[in-house]
Amino acid sequence: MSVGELNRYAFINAKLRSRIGGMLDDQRLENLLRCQSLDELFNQLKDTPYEPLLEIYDQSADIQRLEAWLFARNVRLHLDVAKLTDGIHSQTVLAMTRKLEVENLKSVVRLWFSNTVKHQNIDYRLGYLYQQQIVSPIDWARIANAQTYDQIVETLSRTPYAQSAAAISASRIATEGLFSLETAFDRTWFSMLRSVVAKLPGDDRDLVEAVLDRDSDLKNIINLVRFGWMYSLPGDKLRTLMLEGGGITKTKEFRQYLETPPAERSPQKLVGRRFPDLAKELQESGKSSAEMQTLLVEQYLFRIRRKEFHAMLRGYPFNFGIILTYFFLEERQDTIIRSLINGIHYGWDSPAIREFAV
Amino acid sequence: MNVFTVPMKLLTAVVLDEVTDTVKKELLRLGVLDFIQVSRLAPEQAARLSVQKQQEEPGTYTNLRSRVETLFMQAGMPTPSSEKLNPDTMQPLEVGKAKALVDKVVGDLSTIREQQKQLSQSRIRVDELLRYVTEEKLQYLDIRIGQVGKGNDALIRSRLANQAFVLIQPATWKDFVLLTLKRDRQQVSPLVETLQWMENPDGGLQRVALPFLQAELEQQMENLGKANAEIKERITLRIKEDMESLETLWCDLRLHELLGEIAQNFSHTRNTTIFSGWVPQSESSALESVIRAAADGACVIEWTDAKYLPREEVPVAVEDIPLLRPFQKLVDNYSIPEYGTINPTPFVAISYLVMFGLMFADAGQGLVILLLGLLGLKHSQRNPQLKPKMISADMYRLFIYLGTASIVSGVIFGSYFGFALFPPIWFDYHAAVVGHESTGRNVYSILTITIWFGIVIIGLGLVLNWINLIRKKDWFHLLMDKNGLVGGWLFGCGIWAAFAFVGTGYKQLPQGLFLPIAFGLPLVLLFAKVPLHRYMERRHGKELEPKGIGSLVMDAVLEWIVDVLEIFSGFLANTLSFMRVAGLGIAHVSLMTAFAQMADLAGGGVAGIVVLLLGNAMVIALEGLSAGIQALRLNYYEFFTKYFTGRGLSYNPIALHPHAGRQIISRP
Repeated sequence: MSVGELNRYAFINAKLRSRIGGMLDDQRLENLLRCQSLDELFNQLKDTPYEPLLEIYDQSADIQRLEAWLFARNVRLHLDVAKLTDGIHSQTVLAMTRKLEVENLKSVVRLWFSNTVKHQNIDYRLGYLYQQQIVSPIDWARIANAQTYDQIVETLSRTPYAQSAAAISASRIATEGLFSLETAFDRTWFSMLRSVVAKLPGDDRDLVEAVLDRDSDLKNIINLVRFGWMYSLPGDKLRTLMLEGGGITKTKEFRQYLETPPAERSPQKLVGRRFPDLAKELQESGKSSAEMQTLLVEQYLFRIRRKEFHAMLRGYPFNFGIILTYFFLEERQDTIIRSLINGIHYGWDSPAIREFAV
Repeated sequence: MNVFTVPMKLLTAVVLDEVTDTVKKELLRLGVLDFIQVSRLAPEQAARLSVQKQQEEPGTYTNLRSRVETLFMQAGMPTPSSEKLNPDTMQPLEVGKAKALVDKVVGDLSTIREQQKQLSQSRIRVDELLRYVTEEKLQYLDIRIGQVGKGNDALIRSRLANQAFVLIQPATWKDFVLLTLKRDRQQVSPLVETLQWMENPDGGLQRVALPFLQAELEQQMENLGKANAEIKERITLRIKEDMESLETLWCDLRLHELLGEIAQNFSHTRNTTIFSGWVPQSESSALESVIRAAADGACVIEWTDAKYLPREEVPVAVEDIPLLRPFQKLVDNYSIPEYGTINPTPFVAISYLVMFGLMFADAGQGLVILLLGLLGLKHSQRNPQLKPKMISADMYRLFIYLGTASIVSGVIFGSYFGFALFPPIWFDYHAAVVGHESTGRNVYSILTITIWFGIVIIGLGLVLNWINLIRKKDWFHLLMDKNGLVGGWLFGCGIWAAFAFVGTGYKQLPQGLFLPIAFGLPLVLLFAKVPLHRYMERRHGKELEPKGIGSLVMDAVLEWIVDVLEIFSGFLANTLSFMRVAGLGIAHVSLMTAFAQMADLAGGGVAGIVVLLLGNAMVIALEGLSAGIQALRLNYYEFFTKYFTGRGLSYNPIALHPHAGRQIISRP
């Protein structure tokens, strides 16, 4: 352990661990899963970091406002952690925060698309989106109110997303939709993250790159299954969806997958060598749908990440792992709360909510 | 006042099945029995006993009660108090009907909530328009000024009902002002054209119209706010419509829940019900009478004294001493004492207050803390529904005690907001710290006082430990433990030797036979610990791992080294730890001295008073917090580790009121 690592991580370690200690435990989650109304749910969330949801719901009865608050909270947590670090570590956290910025950007662009291209009334929906600065100063209202796609490109001109936006034409958006633009935003974010992570010092860099490589692999697999099998995209288009990093895109199984006609593609063969457990699960699921297969891969990714991050929590405390673990646990907790809110609101039964939530 | 844990007795009772319900209700009403599973008492008979299957799933009543409590919360009503629970007036509960009642109310509320959601969406609409108008972001807005050729304003409003818009006709204007979002132009323009809108050619009117639009939007926001408040009122009223039924339902659910918990601890044969549990000895007669009355004499009751059962299986209760409740909480935060041992609370009360007083000796500042405690407690008692933020009612009570301790020590040491306004009863602490020779004391004197204080506390801890061990008849640990007689001997002799050493000007330890007797004897005795322990265990029939002589000697040597290191370094560190009491007291004086000097530098007068006020506030907040935490640490670490083993089981009787538990209130 170096003095530098201790100085850098001692305080943030204590702070994040105390926040992790205050997260919802299994007993509380069980109580939440038994709730039959949103009022009960928020009553159970008193004395937790989610207590403000009670007041918001009491004032508005609007679950989209609740989701908006959850998103804003997530942004705030990320920016708080960025302030607790400095230098390249702070930049790395901000690069991770850009994921939320990209999510928000996609949501705002989708609103614009509905309104301007599809001529649908978006009405009050902009009010639910986050409209303050996340990382880059983006005028969200300007994007949502843009009369043309060029105005959006101009709005994003001083942001890292400028190139991605400019590379796609308005006519392509009008004919093909937002898929290519959104994919380009995702790849831009991931590429930015990769380049910042490469500048981290030794052990931190290795740790984060290992996590990103594994995430790349599994997300690429998800895209290959979803778009290569379900949507039968041709190989050249599939290649453009791939996130950089990881090892799956360097394998011969990947090349074969791209070259194989969509109807004959086999997810099991794709992952068999690098992820034999996953291949076995996919095989045991039988000839289930692409949605099912995608869900299996997502669940597998979740399990791997949970195992990895719990190991980081138990392991050496003075490295970037504590930050990654904290974000993972917060994301998981948020997912559970969102699932509960939506599940109860839409009248899902408890097992269905549990499947999504836990 | 009983300084030990409350003596307990184990009840085992058999009653006929037909009186089970009556017995359950009486047990609940009395609320003193901490049940245990009968099968634990006689495991070999457990197969012959059955547990009655409950009519409802265990969690049903709890879940339903939680739903009812949520409704109370929504209506801003407190949950009914446990005083309303009366087993005599309990109604049979049909869960289906109960659920139907709750579902009906929740269903009606959902309808009202849907309206509230619509309002929320309207507010978002208006908020966006208001923001653009206020910030003059006209590039997002379409402001039309003109007149309709066909229809009237009502028609415009109905046509634009699904859009974000504002339509006004300012006073003295013939024209209407129609505000919409530019992005909605594709939908709005055709609608407006059908009304034969005639636009006023004067483009400058748009800016003129802005204040009117802003005023209208602000009014709309206010109206929406009022409408939302009305909806919330409707929610409250809807729940209150069924309040009586809901309260009755809550009581019935709670009673059924508690009776269900009791029933789960009953075992049954074909015709009888058997149950068992712990009860404070003082309640045993009352409990026996109640069971006999409920069973009409047809029962068998057997009592077993706690001394016949393993200590760790006996639940622990302590006598509730209302004056000492804040300190009970401090003890509870640490752990539960072992059954039959001393209740640390009265001792903690004294040690904590003395420590705090020594670290924060100022009568004026103590008065401030006392007043804060009194005001805070009054406020929390007047507003019981308010959730405590950082400071709870118990904390305010503690402030009252700490303030008083601080006042007393301030008077003893002659400190009043950092000034010696009156002569001290003992000596002038301030003068001693700053080095005035008049007091005959200095910082070293203060350090000596606190070390002696530490010795007394540690010594008290040891004595309490010996008392506990004698009561447990644990002679081995009484003699050999590091906090036993050997450890105490070494501690006492160590202090004697240390003071003797200091007395010679740090030149010479006590001569003669003192050291061999003081230290040599106990150290030799400690060496016998491992073999003696082994011998005693064998005598009690315990199976031991066979070990050779060499192995035994090695164990003895290693254990001895560890014990010696622990005793010497532990006691030394613990004793010196009390110097922090002096340290904080000195820091307190130093800060007040510094603020007094700053007030002088500020030229006295109003500026000086302000400096002193701020200084006192800072010292009360920071030093007060520091002193409180350090006093707690000294209690938890230096004091408790001497005698408080904390392996106790909590006494949790099933009772009507939620506060039945470890602190029992003695019945008159």
